[in-house]
Amino acid sequence: VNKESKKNATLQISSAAILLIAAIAAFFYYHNRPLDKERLKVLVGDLRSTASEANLLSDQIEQEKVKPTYTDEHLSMMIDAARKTSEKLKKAKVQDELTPEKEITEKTAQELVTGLEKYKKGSVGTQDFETLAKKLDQVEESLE
Amino acid sequence: MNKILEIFLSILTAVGGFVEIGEMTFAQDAGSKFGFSLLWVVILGTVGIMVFGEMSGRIAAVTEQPVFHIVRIRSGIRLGLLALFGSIMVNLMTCTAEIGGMAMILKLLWGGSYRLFIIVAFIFIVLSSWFLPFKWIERLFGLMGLMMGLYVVSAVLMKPDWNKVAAGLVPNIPHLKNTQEIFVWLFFIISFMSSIMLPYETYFYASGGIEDRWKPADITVNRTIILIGFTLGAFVSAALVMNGAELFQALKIDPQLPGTSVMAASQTLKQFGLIGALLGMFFAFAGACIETCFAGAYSIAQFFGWPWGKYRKPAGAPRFTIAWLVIFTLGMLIVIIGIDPIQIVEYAIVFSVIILPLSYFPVLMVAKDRQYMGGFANGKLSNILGWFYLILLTIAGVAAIPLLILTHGGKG
Repeated sequence: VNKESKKNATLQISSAAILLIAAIAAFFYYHNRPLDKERLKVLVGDLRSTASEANLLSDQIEQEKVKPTYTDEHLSMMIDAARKTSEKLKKAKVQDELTPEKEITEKTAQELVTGLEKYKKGSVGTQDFETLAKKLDQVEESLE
Repeated sequence: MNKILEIFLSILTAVGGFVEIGEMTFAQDAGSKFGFSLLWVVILGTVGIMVFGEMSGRIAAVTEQPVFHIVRIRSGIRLGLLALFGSIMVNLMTCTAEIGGMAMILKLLWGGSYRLFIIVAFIFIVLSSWFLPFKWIERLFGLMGLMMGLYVVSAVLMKPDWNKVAAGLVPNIPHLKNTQEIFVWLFFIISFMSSIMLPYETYFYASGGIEDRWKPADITVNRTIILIGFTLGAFVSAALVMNGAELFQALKIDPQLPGTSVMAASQTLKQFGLIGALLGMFFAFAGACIETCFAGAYSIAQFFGWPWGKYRKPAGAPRFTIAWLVIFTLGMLIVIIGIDPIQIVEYAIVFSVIILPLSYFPVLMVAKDRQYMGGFANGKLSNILGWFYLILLTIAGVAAIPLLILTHGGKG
């Protein structure tokens, strides 16, 4: 009986280990493969949302709907988010046919980060976030 | 008169404590992605939490037995341990996200270091939990959380198309362009429903009933609080969806950060709305943080049969006290090392879908058992609703992870 249960336990542990290794391998494959349309669209969407939000925030600042501390802190969080997405995009490989879209997005992401930084420093009106949002929106639509 | 005031305050407490960071994120995001069309999920989720909240409260009043004691008796050690482990993980994740959310709000209100505010938030909740009696914890955070009502005012001031709002309250399928959009839509139904039905609410509510020494005579009060309090709380949830639909959908903004969510209140109510909504969110998140942490500690203590309860002094329930202190500390450490609380929220909500059937099945079994509950066992309606939600939650539990992967966390 002991031998039998030992055999069973070994079989169960080996199966669990194989499943775990397969799951880890699948996870790494999924994360390291070149970005397809859908995954690139997610990154473009994040940037488009931030650009659009910056536009709304600038409107609310103009109409004195928000406090300066909130504006400063929220802009910092938005810059962090845009920078993270921009870096993720820079590092990522994309499928060959998506290279033009990736290049446009990378450039626009950089403009967005710079624009948000300038805006935070007080150079109001130097960046047109609406234009950036529209540009990113067009890229997103081309990926539909 | 005192009894009426007590019920009134309990209802307000239930309203103020209805929304937490996960529900807030998914509600506004659901509105920004699908307009008013997912408003019916608010009704679906609210009725669900009412059904199981009422059953757990009734069990607590009749048997004076907490949920996890019942889970252990009914499910056996192995399945019970699985439910316990799942619930602790989800509670820890939610508690962590709430601490991160509180720190973000403090930063938006006063400016300064995020990590410093994590420590401030941690000290605030530990001291509140240590020094305040159970009733005060419930009341303070619930009543202060009522400031979330500003989102309801904001939703009305945005002058929504009420015909579309009414149409959204009926289950419907919006215009979806492709298979991927269908997956995202399904993901949002499941996650949003789960964010309303988070299991910690039931654990905390039922354990609270025992802390307050409910008796069978309190069952009607329990039902009244649940029915009125949760219904009014659902208005806040619905208002968040409406804010998302009115403001964020048109501008194509995905409201993920607390700082983005609050722009819905400042849009109509200006600086008053901004500050009020931020404070409301702070207290709602703080209340949920304490509730999730205590729900975790209650579960562990009840499962292993340790003495538990806030009515006992820490020395009278040392392992229970250590359990909640450890959960708070772990939550604080997880956010302080730099893990994004918003991402934790999303995973917490999705994983809670998986453990919901495991938690609610034993509750239904006991609540319908006439030998156990006597004349207070479930009626026909409670049984039908209980089984309906269990089947629904089981299907949702199976679909949750595949949908999370297929939709890249609901982003498309």
